[in-house]
Amino acid sequence: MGGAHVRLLRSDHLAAWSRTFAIQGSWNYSTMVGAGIAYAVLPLLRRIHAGDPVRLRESVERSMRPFNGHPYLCAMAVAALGRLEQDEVDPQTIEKFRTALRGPLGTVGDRAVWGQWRPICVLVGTLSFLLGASAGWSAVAFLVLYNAGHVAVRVWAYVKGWQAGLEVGRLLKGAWLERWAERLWPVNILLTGGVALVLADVVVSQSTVPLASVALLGMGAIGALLAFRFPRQGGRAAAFLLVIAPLLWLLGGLTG
Amino acid sequence: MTLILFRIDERLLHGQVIVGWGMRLGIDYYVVVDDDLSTSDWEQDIYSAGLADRTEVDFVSVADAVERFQEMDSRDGRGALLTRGTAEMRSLAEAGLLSDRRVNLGGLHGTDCRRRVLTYVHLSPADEQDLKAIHLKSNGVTARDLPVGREVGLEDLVDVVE
Repeated sequence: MGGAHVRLLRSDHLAAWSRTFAIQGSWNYSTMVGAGIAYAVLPLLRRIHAGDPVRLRESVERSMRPFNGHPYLCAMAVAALGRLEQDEVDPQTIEKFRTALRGPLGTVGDRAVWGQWRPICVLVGTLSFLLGASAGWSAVAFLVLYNAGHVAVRVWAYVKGWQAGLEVGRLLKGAWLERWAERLWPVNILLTGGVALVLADVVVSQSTVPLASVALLGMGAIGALLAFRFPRQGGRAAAFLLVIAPLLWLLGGLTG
Repeated sequence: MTLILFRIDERLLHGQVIVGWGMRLGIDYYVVVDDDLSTSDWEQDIYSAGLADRTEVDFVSVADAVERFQEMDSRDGRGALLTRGTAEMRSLAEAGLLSDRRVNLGGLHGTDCRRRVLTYVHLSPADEQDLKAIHLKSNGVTARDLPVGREVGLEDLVDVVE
């Protein structure tokens, strides 16, 4: 007996969810996180196919096939695949589902986590350091903030994946993660500007070059206008300045 | 001519395409050429879930793509055409649609019958034949996973001279 007749225990879900932290443990170019998915979904499959080693083996083999996605959102794939196995969805549909899901899980996760959340947390840590916090506390601030979001995403992804099953596509479209990725963009820019300003202040105050703050602000304003008019080139220039400013700062400190 | 990227990538709409290429090239719409996907609503929902609201996507069969190519190639904005495998792109090339276009080989991952030629490109004998045919009927085939990545000519992947 298996599939839809089996009631999964909370401990099964907890085991599967906690294993998603190791999802990239055997990443390779051939199957990418395929083995990690199989490892994570195994506690669910063992319960679903208890007493049926043939179906268990088949489902594990299916789970081992190539898969890729954002590592945090792979929890959604793990839960949804477990749900499909429990609902006794045919293997061909499960394979199509796996193939389709690896795209959006990567895109949504890359945009929200790598593109917005991680830079924001880095900037918060940097800003707290520049404003006077110790290096240790700034690092702690970064780690706590970043991982609060990280773990929340993993929990949400797993719960929603289990609830939605085959319908995760509709769930992902317009999900809060996507909306927040859009909303966090101005926060990211604001923090970038804040860090740049504080760094500029440090450079000016420590530099022997006679640059007044007003002149520097004026240059910043001209730079901002140019970046607004030519966003692609302006973005590169801003990134260059963000890299070069700390170096100037360090150089200023070293040369006294 | 608004279709500015022609890419073979079995993952279709994923991070490298949408964020890596799409943001760099300012892509406004995607055309996914795939017979199975063109008739499967739930799969279309999943594939398009990663797109921003303002970005459009059409899922069309190979036959529809050939028939509607001029329309798809003259829309407002910039477009990207994606196929899951080499066979679909070969069909477009042999229909004479890619004569002045360069084809980007983006991601074909390993299977039992494919050999690895790049970390992100694995080719079967059939894939190689398709790519040679596309190469002859287009402005060339090159492999590159991301815009910042190294571009590798088809001649470095397979022997293109028959």
